[in-house]
Amino acid sequence: MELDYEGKIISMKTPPESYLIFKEELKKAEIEKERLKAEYEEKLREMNMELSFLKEQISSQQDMMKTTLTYASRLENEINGLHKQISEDKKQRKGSFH
Amino acid sequence: MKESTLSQQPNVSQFESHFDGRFAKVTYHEPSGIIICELKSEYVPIEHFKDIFYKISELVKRGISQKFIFDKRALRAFHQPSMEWYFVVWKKEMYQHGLSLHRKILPDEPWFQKSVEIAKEQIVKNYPDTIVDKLDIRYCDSIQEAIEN
Repeated sequence: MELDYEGKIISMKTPPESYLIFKEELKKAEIEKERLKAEYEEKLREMNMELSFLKEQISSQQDMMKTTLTYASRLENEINGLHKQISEDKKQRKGSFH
Repeated sequence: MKESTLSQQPNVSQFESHFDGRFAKVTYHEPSGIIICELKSEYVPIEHFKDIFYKISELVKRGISQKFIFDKRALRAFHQPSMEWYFVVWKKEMYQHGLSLHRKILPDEPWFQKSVEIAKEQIVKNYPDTIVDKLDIRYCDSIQEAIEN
């Protein structure tokens, strides 16, 4: 039986030092776990943001390609039309001479 | 003597930083009224793009409105809605604040330059009331060249 400084009986024994160390380590581990969780979530958020930027970039590049191809097709049609007109003009000129 | 001092253009190292972010770096030189915007990313999402230009507007409204140099060399994707907004809305608003000299530096890639040309042609076609004819727009190869011309 142990008594305190006023002579009252202490029913509970002081926890062993190893238990206190374990409790302290557990607390530290929990803090570390929370820190790692927050860090992981932040990295995930950043990665998702970068991914959405990349998706936007790809879509924008596809639009660029579409615009360029539409432009090239229009030019091709214009050139074909011009060639056709030139050959028709040539035929007409030949016809008028002979 | 006085004239030569006035006509002397600043060096890039004399520019002060307005901000330096994830997508762009903006510097300015108050005595000459020149602003430089250097894009730092292959692509700039529209909300960030607008944010950059709203920040540049602060400088223009403060009277730093002689010349705007837009260095797009880092870009690899041309976002049409962003460029439309820049061309139709921002440039028009800044023109009202006295900014009419625009110098642009494009990426070296000829395909990119062609895309810009096509996109610009489309914007002019879609928005016939733009103030583009009132602006002095030139393409340059380097920032120093853009400062001097």
